[in-house]
Amino acid sequence: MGPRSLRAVLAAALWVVFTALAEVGVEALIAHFPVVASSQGELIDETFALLLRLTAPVFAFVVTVLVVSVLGAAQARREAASGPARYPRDNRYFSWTWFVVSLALNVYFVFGPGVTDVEAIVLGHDRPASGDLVVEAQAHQWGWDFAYPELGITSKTLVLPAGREIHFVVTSKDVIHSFWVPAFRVKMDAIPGRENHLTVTTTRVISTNDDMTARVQCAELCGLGHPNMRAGLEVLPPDQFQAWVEKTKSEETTTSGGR
Amino acid sequence: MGSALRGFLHAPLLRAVVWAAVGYLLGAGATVGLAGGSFLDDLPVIVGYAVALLAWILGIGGWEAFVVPWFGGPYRLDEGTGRSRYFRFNTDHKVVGIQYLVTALATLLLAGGLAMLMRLELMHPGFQVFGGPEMYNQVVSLHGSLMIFAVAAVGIVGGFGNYVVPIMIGAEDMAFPRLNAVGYWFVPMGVLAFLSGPLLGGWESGWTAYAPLSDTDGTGQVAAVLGILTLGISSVTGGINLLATVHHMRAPGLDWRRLPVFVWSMVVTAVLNVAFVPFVGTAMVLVALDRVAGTNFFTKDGLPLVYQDLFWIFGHPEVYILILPGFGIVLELLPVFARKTLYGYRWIVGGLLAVMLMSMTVWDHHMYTTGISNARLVPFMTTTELISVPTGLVYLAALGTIWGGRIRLTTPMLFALGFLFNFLIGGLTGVFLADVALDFQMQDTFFVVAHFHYTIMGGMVFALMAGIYYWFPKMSGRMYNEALGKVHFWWMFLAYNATFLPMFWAGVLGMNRRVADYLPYLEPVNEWVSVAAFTLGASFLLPAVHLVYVWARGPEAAMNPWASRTLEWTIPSPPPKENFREAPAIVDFYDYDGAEDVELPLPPRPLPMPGVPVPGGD
Ligand code: HEM
Ligand SMILES: [Cu+2]
Ligand SMILES: [Cu+2]
Repeated sequence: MGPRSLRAVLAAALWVVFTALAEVGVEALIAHFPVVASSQGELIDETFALLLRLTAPVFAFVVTVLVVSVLGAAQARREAASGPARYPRDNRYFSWTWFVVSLALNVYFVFGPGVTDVEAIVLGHDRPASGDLVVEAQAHQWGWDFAYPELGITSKTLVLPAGREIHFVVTSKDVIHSFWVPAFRVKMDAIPGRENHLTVTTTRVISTNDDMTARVQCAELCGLGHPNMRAGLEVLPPDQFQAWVEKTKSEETTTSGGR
Repeated sequence: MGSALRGFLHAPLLRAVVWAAVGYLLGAGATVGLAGGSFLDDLPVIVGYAVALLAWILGIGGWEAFVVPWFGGPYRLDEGTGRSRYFRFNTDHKVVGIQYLVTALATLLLAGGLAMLMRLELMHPGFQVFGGPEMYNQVVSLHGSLMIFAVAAVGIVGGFGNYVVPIMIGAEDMAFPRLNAVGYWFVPMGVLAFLSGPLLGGWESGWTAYAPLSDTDGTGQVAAVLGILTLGISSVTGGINLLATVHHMRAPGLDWRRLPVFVWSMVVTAVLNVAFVPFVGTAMVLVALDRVAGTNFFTKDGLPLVYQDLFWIFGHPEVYILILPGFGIVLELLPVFARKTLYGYRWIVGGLLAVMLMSMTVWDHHMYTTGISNARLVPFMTTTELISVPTGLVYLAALGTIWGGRIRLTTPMLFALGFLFNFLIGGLTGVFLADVALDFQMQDTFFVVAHFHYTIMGGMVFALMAGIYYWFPKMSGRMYNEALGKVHFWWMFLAYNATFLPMFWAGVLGMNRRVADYLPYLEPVNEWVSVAAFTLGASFLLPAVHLVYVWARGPEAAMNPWASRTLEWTIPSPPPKENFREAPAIVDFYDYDGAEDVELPLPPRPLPMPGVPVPGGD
């Protein structure tokens, strides 16, 4: 075996090793993803994991070539000393393979997870579907107001039933804000003069008190109060949610009746 | 008045400062006189600054260079000699290049220092440094704006674009030397405009200045608007000049198919500058009108989203304006230090042109979460994912070049290889952010912050460093210390990755960006990042001292210390004013077949490219 093919074999072996290491690292990351509390979020985490797993070999490939080239420099010098080198200006097979593989990967990213997720998360969700619980999330400098038009109540904390499809209507009174719940993995900007829509299907009971990623956080720079423009989130079992609704309703009638 | 004093007052820089100050007072004063209000209102600041900018340009030499000759007077511009050239209106492209480079580096240190303050604030939850969010927001905005508009867009393009490109194509100067000279002098004023922001109460809308926040922000916002417009003028004139230069001034025999790849990268960058900087200019003018004239282009009863479209129609090409020159430098260096022929020249040129064209079609990936219609989501996701194909061709060429090469790990080569590693992470995470659904989570988190620092700092700044060490002997005529250079590289490379890699994870954990305060559960990762960031910040001090010292005292450099083939290495270091004493011989710049490891000088040889006539034969 000549030194050149030896280098290629070595690189191939190293690529396998690096890829394996990278995949181990990737799996460790995936295992430590923060808690997810919506079905949209589960889909997004899957896509995140998929992209991590698929880009790891690409990363490993480039690193392999860097390492093998640097470590093989002395050998390359010896080769060149034994006869004048002729270096290829292009290697048709390598270049076209590279081009086709990178194109295929990216086309797959778009039409695989990309389009599938858009269809699941965005498409058709620009108005509430029947059975959705509608929640109006209104942002202002600096805080959130939540209204439940069908239930006739408002709240400063976002309280939701678990296992329901929630349709958020996101608006702003002043500048641009963004409605984000890290545990849901989705955000939607609140833009003055516009109604934005976002659908979230809650999958589990969770509360800000137990997990800080379950919070409403403004994600778009909106001025001084931006960092702490947050609201608590409670995802309750359906019966407890119903109880909360009743309680809030009666409280609101007593306060407005008392006026 | 004594003649010494008179001479001093005639020193152009001082004259420019005095004229600008007087101009500012006159402009602002007249506005206050006519329209009332205070000197610190938007309108007086804008008018005062406009007059000051004009006076500054005239004072530094625009008067002698343009106005007097226009009216038939004699062209009597004193361009100075020796060091004083750098403080004057000077038409030598090499002087202008160094002016740009030094200004960008000084701004890099300054804005980097601001980043240290930010990391100090973010080390723990609560407010430690700035006592509240207001100052922090201003400092983030200043850091970002300076880094983008006065460092990243200026360093390589203004610095090496001016210094190296004319020599690389065998020209004696740029096509429009006076335009070049005047273009530089907009930069210090642009930087000053940004820096005056805090004095005017600061602005807190970030470098993106999203409306309507920027409509209602303090007067400091006007400073940012003026800074962007001023630096934009420099970018556009520089772009026009570069295109004219490469088109008209190439040495005989140097056709487009033999152009060095760095020159190609500067050409595509110039096209993007000329075509897209006007969009941000428009956006800024409209914001200013909203503020001073009560128009409602982007106010809450106007069209705030249109601002974002305008901004990102510019903003996305802008990020390629920042990185394409970096690709150029790295690809230029790899064959030299791998002692190996550049791989895939045609793939590179094709890739650069494709990136240039496609970069115009991807801007809405910054707006996935704004509620834009579905008809925009998938098309922009498609173009954004696909732009990694031509970008990947840079890696194809880079890997093809170093594979089996006789690599010499000099400081510039280390930085070039570091670039390949860092930008790989920046580029691959771009694939993640291009995905609409994933962006619903990542948008406006530290995942994005890590991503763009990997491309700009890990990419552009590393390429800038590679270029500085590579061309240092040419520009200064002196050699830096290789050991110190290597220490610089390893220190910066390790500290850089230690700082920014964990930032991705902070984003995943739910840390949103542009915040002075955060929830306590995010403290561990932030503490780590801050400590690493201080180590990174300290790494800048070493080259700052080292390079300044060797520029003055270093050992003399050979004409071609790297045994490189491009034309700048065929002339003395530093080059004479006219660059070439005789017409340069055009060779295949990337042919290292059979070349010794280090061989001085390399013999010219005929071009092996098929269909390309041999030099002198046409
Ligand atoms: C010296 C090392 C650096 C450190 C430690 C650093 C750190 C930071 C931090 C903490 C932020 C705030 C992120 C956020 O909350 O959104 C930031 C923002 C930013 N940085 Fe850096 N940075 C460094 C160098 C650079 C360089 C070299 C560039 C570009 C040439 C750059 C460009 C930016 C930009 C454009 C922003 C966004 C500002 C905005 O939100 O408007 N940074 N940086
Ligand atoms: Cu907000
Ligand atoms: Cu906010």
